[in-house]
Amino acid sequence: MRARYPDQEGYVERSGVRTSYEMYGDGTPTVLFLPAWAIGHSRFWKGQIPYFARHYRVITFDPRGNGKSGRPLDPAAYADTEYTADALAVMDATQTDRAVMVGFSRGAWLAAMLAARYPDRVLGAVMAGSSSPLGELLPERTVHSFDDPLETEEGWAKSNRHYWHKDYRGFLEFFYSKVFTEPHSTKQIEDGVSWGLETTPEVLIATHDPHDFSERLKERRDEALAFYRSIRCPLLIIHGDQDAVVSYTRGVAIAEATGTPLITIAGGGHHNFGRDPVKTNLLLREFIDRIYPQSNFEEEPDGDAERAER
Amino acid sequence: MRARYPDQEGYVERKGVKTHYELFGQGEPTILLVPSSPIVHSQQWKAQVPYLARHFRVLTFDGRGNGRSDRPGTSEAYGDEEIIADMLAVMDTTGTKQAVLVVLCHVWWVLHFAAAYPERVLGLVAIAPGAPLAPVHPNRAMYIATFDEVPDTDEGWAKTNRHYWLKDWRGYVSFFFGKMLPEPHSTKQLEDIIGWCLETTPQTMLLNREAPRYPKTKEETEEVCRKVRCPVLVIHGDLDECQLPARGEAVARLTGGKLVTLEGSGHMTPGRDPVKINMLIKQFADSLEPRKSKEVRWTRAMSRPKRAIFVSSSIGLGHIQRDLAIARELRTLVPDLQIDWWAQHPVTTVLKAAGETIHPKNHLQALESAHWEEESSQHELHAFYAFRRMDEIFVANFMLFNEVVQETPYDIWIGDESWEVDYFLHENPELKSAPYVFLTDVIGFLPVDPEGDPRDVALCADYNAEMIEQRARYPRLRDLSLYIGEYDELPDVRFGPGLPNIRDWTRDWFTPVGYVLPFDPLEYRDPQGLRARLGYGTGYPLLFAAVGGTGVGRNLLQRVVDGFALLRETMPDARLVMVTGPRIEPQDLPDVPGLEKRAYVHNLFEHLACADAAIVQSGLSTTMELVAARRPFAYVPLRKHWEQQNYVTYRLRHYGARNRLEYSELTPRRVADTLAELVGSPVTYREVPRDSARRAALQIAGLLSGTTRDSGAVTQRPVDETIRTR
Repeated sequence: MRARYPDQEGYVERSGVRTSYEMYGDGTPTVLFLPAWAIGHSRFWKGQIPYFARHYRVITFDPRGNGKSGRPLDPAAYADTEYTADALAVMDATQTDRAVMVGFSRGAWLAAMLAARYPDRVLGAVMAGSSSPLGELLPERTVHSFDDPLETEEGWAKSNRHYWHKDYRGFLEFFYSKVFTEPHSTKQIEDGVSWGLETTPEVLIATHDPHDFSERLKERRDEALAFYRSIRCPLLIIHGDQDAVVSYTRGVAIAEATGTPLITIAGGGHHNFGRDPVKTNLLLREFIDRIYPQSNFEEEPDGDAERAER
Repeated sequence: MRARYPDQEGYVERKGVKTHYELFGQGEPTILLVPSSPIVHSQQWKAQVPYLARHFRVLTFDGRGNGRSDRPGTSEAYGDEEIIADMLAVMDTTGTKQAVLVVLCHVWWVLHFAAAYPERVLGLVAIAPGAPLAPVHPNRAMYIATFDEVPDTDEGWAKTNRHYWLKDWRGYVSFFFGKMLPEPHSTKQLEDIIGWCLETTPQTMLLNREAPRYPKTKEETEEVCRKVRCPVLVIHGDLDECQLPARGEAVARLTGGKLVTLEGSGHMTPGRDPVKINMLIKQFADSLEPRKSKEVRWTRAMSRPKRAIFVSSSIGLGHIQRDLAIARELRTLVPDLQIDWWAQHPVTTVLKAAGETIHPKNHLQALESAHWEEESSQHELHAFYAFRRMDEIFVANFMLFNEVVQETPYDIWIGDESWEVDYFLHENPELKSAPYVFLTDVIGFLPVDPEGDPRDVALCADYNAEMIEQRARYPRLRDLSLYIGEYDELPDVRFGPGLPNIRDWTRDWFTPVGYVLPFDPLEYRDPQGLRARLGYGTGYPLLFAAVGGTGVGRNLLQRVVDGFALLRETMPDARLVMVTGPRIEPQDLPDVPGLEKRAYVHNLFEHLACADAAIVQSGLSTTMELVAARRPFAYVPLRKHWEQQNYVTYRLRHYGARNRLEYSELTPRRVADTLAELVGSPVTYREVPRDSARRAALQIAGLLSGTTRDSGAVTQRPVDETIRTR
């Protein structure tokens, strides 16, 4: 069972593809937890939802390609602009004018895109383990082709369309071991693999085609810098220095480009919200309370503890 | 001495009346701490200023009628309009465009100010606001009505009367503020306030009472509250006898503010619960402006190095040697332990010489040893009162310590007589976030003369009672309480009338580890060899005089110099090495033949161990090092130092060291005779244990390893003898 069930759920449909969303709580502001990649779905945020739903209004949605959302096989359906359009459609459907955008990995890139292009819809953007055209690709991920058949199946050679067809679970197990480099992450890895198995290698291959905006910017550093600098809302940038999926240098580069102090999770891997939920929840809470003026002053919970003790 | 002095101060003058202001710090925004009527002055905020000034720009002023401001002779001069104009003038003069206003009780001025000058007020913190939105406290109501009449009684609240004020102003303020501080053990806060009240006069307070006020009906007050547009925080104690909590609730409701109720608190919360009030003000001020975020590096729990913060009390240089000895032992038991030291000058000098790591924020502490120096006069440091007057420094330094341990998650907090940490953790137990060890060689306060001043006796007993109650209420706040000694070394007396016996209570609440020496005494039993090694040579009487790390021993040293000059008449080859400590300049003492003056001697115990005789102030460390090295010596307790008079004397007697000299009888002749007798005299001291640092370290290591079963559980490494003893 879940720690918190949604108060409301529904779906939006765009060009025949359904995107399923869930809503929790009725506080302000709204916090929109973005999907990362179709390799998982909104359950990525299970460590966040119950806590933030007690303080704010929380919306999550499953990405097209996984969970309760549709699974088109046309690669064009998975462009990052389709995901941002889904996010806006979910906001419209839930009467959400503005929200704090929270994402990790590719979801963090979506948060940046929403913040840059739809500033009036975004109160603040949170980027953890962010995919980005800035910073470096991890060297071990530059070795193997995704499309060509390979002679090896070791390590990142598993990130290959032929291997996915042959042993999709093997890829998922490898991939999540890289997402969670922290010792004793068996449960987080198991969760990730099971969510990955809710979709198919065919769908995941369709998401892989590099025709994204971010791919284009990788060749044009000036444009990428200009893109980040155009973001006006407050940012929270978190990156684990042991991230084995997206290089820590990307977090450093985004922080530098946007003039935002970086939060480093020393010893942390790729999905800090999943592996260090308490710390990241507290960081996110502090960020939201800081940027959202209406939330004003609140006594810290330690006061309640004190009273309870008496 | 104050914990923080202003960076800038001055006067504003309006219609011939001067108002004194002080400005601290340079953060944003400005916090204006508004005075509460002329009855007190800006020192009422002494527990807030040092902390807030580290984060914000803090502005205070003395209200006309008290402190360093003028005391005009007409009631018109104390009118609401004048006070509000003073506030504005102080803000203008200091270039303060906007401020967060903080006020205790006298919210009236501040509400009008915020309503009249909304562009100048960022936010308002109203502590125990006295807005007439709910009835006056019933205790006071009937006497306020008959304030001008000649009373038929002086009892209780009947003291709220013009005639009584003029007859016995001290009696009135003692009664009134006694009621304002219903919290037990508030003697220091009450004494402070009475002192401030006596800086003004009942005549001034009567002028103030008759001063022109803005209309004050309930409806008019409600209207003013509704005009306040800025964010408001109301803080109210539920035991407040000055302002009923209903008034705080009403202010919060009408201004759309937030109410924080402090349960068990009276009217004077900034003084009595300073940690909580400070944190509430900071949190409120932080919430008003978008804070700049900071770069953060959070290390996952399992990736962290093992780290301790070691708080070493700064009063004198004695404790740091034992703390270093314990730290060395601890490192043999927990080899990967990093230690950050939290200490003050001059202790930091010793730590630097030992190559230890000092916490980078260490220097932000308010200096305790400067306070002790200021407190000392002649050879008469009244240590209990000096300690008691450190309240302001203690709050300031606790607030800093709390920040430091919130920033860095330490595995353990170790405090050697870390009084401020221990006291305020018991007052704010929710702030404890790591295992905590408290070490001490002294337990409780004893009056210098138990038959003497009843005030001394009562205050010492009250401090002891508070400590005993704190321990009983939060027994697990300390994970370990270590007594530096054995139970038998403690005074076998009560903590005070009706309180337990010190030894009995210590048996229940402390683990004894024995007296901790910074060296192995067996290595220092060859004075001649040691003299050769340290370059003193042999064949003449070598004498030592030392007074520890504070400046209070200056007069003792002067007398020793004079006595030594006399001694040379009969013992012409005698030489005296005088260690003045870092706070007394050697050149301030006269030169006489055979006298060598040194400001600092590294490892002083090595030198004492080859003395033919020594005369020292009875600081615990120096005297016990002489006992351990089995050298003849005489000790002079500071006259009003409860620890030197009681605890050190008890302990030295336990070890068989009995040459105690009274400073009042210490003529130069007495010094000369004593030294002459001591040279070559045999000693029969009890042996000082050699393994005490190890015993302490084993206990602490048990907390770090999770078991105290035996030493084998915490280490596989054999004890390195050379590390152990040096």
